[in-house]
Amino acid sequence: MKRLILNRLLISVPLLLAISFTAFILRDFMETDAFDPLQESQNLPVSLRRSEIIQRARAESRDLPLFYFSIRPWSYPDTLFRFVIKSEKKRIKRFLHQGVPWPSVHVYVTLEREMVEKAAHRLDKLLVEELSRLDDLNAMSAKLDAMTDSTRAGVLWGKLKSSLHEMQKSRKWFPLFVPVPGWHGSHNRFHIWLNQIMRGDWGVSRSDYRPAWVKIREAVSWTLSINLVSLLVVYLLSLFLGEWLFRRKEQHKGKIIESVLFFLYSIPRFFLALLLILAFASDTLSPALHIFPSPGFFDSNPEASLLEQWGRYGAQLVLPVICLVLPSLAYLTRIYSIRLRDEKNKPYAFMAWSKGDAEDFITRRHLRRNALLPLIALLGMEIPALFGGSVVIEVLFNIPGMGRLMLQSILIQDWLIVFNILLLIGTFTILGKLLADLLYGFTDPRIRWRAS
Amino acid sequence: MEGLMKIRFAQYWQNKSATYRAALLVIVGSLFIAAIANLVANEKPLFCICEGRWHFPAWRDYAEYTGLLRKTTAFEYTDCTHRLPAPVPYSPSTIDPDGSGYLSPSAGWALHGKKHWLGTDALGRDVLAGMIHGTRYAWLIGLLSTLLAGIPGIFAGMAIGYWKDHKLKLTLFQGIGLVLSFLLWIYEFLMIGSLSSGMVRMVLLVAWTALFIWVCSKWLKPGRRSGLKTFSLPVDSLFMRFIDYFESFPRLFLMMALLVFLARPSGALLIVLIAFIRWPLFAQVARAETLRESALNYVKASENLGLPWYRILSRHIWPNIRSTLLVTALFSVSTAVLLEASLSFIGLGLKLESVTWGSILNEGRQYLPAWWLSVFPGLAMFILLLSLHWILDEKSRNGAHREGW
Repeated sequence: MKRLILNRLLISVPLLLAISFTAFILRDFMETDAFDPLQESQNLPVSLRRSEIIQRARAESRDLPLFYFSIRPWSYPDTLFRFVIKSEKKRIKRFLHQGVPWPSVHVYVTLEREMVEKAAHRLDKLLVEELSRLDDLNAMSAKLDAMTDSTRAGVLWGKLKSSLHEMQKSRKWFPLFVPVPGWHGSHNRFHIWLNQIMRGDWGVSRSDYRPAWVKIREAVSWTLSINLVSLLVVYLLSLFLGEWLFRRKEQHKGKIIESVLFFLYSIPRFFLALLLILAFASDTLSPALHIFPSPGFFDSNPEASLLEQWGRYGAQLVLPVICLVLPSLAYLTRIYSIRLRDEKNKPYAFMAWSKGDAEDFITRRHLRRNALLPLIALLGMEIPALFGGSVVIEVLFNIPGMGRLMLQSILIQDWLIVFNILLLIGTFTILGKLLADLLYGFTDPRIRWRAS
Repeated sequence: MEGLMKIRFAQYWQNKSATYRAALLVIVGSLFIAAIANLVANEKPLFCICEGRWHFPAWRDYAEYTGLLRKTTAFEYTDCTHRLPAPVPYSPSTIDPDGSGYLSPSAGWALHGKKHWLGTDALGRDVLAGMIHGTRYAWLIGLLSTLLAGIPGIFAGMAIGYWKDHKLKLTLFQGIGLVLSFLLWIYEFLMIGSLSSGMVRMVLLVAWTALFIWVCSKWLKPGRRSGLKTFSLPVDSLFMRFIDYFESFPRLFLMMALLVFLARPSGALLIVLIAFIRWPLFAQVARAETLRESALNYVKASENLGLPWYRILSRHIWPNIRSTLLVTALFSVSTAVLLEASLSFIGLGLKLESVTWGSILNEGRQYLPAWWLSVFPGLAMFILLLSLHWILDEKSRNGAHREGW
């Protein structure tokens, strides 16, 4: 058993690291360098805006290498990560991938930025800005030629033109295809980010400047409470119902229940929820059946305890819990009763029966234990769902849980929250698997025996 | 149908239970509707005679170009002499000004001259027409994503289930070379991919990948450098760890994030995304089945005959596991349909103008008094899923691997 635990723990550590790295990379990939509408005005001059972004990036130590090591093309500069503005970095990379060596890219880019910042005329500035939106060398040189035909012929324009010409002339393809490894040490963004996550500093949401941790915790409290209740109900009911079904398999009542369960298993959860709302929470179809309050507003009050909140919103939570319970109940009950039947057909059950054991005793003593095994594995899989919640149900019933928080954050592209949630649920998935494995080992001696 | 085919079909049909037959009928019927959706629900007539000329507007586009403006042809056929309208004379995007503002089915029946059998939505789009075209979307997404997930998943799963942890023997030299050349392949692949010229890029990518495969196949030849100490590559363990890693992300969430990041993608991209998150299922099932089969005597016999691994897999193992994989594929179709509908339901699905079951349901959820918007498409989906599940259930209960296709 000890060996099993150690084995599983050792496996899950690299998995956790891989998951956190993926969440980190994906967030970095999706993040745009948009301006914060609240913190700065769009009317600031370009140079000031730029320097402010760079300053903030430095303060958040975003001008560091991404990971402990990197593999880059030979033609890349070794400090490309210092460009914190994504659009600039992307453009430079485009130049480099057209075969231009870094020195001439550098000359051109600085010249262009200088022109934007120090342009004498407004028209000059507009023209250069238009140029700086292009990244294809041929298109750029055509554009520049069109711009500087007669009227725009200053010194800077001439310099820009010659450096662009230089870029086009000095293209070399070979260095692009030679990989160069580089070592950055622990002073990198992933390391710092992971440390922050471990310390509980999860960053600040871009939409309302609240700490991500607080937002997620509030959402988790709702989702977790609803899902825990439904999980308890599901497991208790399905154990009871599954055994009942197994006992009266051949009878009429059992068959009816079985087909009802099959229907429930196939019904899409959101359709079930819509039907329940239409039937019991609105006046449209049947005013007489309007038992539950309509899906409404939750005033999530962080000070109030969970019990208080349940007391206040309990009536609103009945329908979502039913929606969560019914399909899973159908699934689990079917699995359990089928497993019981399968176990009954095995030789050991026949042996027990022919020995003269009562059927009830066989079920209780032998069949149940074996049939419960897949349910334990499923229990482990339910753990991430406890925290993740069901998006459609939460959106439909307006519950401020994880699913709805996720959807809202995705829609406003608040990737910090999104990937923190992903990381959290990924972690819980691994922990759930670990738990399932351990429970399996605990209940099934065969697995313990195989592991050691 | 005649002769042997007829007998086989009759046998197949008679051996099935009534529910199985009904489910099969539902599936074939909805596939049929999906295939001819354009002829069932279309604002253009199927056939008409205008000024002595025959037109088939539903099949062909008779748009005439007058200057820059493209003439809309939908209303021109009204003054033709003989018209055969489609059974549901609306396309899913047809906006009927008389039917706007949530016309209920009963009101839709009462509407003079036009029948909206299942009501309309806020803009006056016919629900039935939307549902018929939604069937097409559901099947397209279900089948194509299953195909796209199944092919790589089954290939990977079978190979890994066959090699297990001990069949792929390498010398240390070979192992290091393999890893390095794989890394180099990825690196150059990315670099070539970032070139700007499309044609050159395609040719280079194909040539480079072919070179990589050729070198690997030479390099990994068994018996090469014999006499050196070999170790076995634990393909199976590595793959299982990878699956663990892949499955530990909440995939619906990840997919939602990707959909928003890519800003309402086309149907093709949605299919690719669904396939991307579903392929491990196929790989796992194929691996488990191959593992079971390769422990049997016939596989051992063919190994002892000296058959190469790909021949054993394709000629001996595949025919024995394909029926189980068919069950997996059916399951995958049902989950893909469900996934697409849930995404559309929360408003993240296909582009706005494409009407699917999920998008009608989404409208229904935003305006609950229009119950027909949520009940009918939901019912359609429920019936499709139910019949898929019936067939799945029966197939897996009868032991799919005993039954053949």
